[in-house]
Amino acid sequence: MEEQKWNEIDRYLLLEMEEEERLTFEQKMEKDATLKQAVEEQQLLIKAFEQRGNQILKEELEIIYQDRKSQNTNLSRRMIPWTWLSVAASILLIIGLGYWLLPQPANNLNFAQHFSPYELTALRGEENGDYLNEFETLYNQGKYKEVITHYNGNLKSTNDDKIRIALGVSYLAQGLTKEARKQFEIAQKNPLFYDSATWYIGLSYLKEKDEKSMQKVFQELVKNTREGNPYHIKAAEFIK
Amino acid sequence: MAKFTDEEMALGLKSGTKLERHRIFEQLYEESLGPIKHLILKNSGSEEAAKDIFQDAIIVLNNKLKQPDFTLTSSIKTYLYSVARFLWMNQLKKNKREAPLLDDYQFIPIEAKALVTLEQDEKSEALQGIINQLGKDCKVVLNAYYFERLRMKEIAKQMKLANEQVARNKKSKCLAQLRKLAGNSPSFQKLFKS
Repeated sequence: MEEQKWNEIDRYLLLEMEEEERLTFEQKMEKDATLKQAVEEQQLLIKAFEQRGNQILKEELEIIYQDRKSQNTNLSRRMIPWTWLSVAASILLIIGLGYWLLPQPANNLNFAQHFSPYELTALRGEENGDYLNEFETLYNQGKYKEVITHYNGNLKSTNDDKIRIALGVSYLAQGLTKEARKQFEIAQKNPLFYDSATWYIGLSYLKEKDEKSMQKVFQELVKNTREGNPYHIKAAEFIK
Repeated sequence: MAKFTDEEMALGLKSGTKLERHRIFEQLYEESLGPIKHLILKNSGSEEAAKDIFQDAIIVLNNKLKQPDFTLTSSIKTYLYSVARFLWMNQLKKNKREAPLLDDYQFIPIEAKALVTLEQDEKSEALQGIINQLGKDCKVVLNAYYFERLRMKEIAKQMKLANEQVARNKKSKCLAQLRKLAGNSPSFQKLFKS
């Protein structure tokens, strides 16, 4: 009986009643103060879930925004040397020094040329606040060895994919590609981190000079992301 | 990867998988942030404010799409623009800057109902602390029902429950638990009675 009452209130508040049923319910509510109070309580509860859901969605949208922003910055940073190189090349051509005689630019299979750390900001946690702050500071200072030690000592129980990406990047920067991949492969299952995790998996194969596996990963990344996506652009450069 | 049509995006936001929704949000950033950013920068706003207003407009769209009486009468890009413009006008009003808006797209009607879904409520906020005390499964089932507005059948499938009835029972049990927690919370009771 009690359950039936709450289901009816839910149907009213979630706008699922037909006009006639709604009017009858409203008349009933006018006469029954207890029912009216129950509706008000339930309305509050629905509003609380809406606010909570909005907040979670806003965080998700913020991650996508920051990710796009950071990748666009990385892309433009990487463009600068090449722009200058082309200017230099043109000058060389113009002054007739036979640019064509110079060796071709280093091939694409250069890890250092493509590796840039994931931008880690605003780590939050109710329980591990201080540890997270230290993790973020060490990571942003590029102290990857310390990042790994700190994680294994203090943060191993956390289940945050953003931390996993940063930890994976730290392993990768240390040349520990298999350890790195373990972290990225878990984070890859979270749609919020699919793009970055897949990108770094590809880079881990690049580091191992396993071109075949790298091609496979980047092909998958290109297939699963849209054209304007910064990871899509970067991965597409590798595909033969 | 092909672009989603408006119809696909509306459907995907209502009932798509996490990955589909993620891709839709990416497409919305690509296609719809530009004009909104332009509007806000032209009207004494910053890039940060434009991003915030854009995200709020997506939240409004996301919530509206779940309401059974809502029909999208324009393109998603136009709808987001119209919501964002209303939200920004509202923000300027709050900051006591009511100069006429410089707007390249004045022909787009204003979406004035946008604020309802974003209003913060002190009592609901207090209730959120109580929601957090629930177990993980309870949070998932109640969130799926009250925020994502999924049907019991969909909830059962998503949570890998035996059938719709099991999901319904779970929801009732979790709801009762939440009411009990709220009833036992003196600070919430005080707020509720005020």
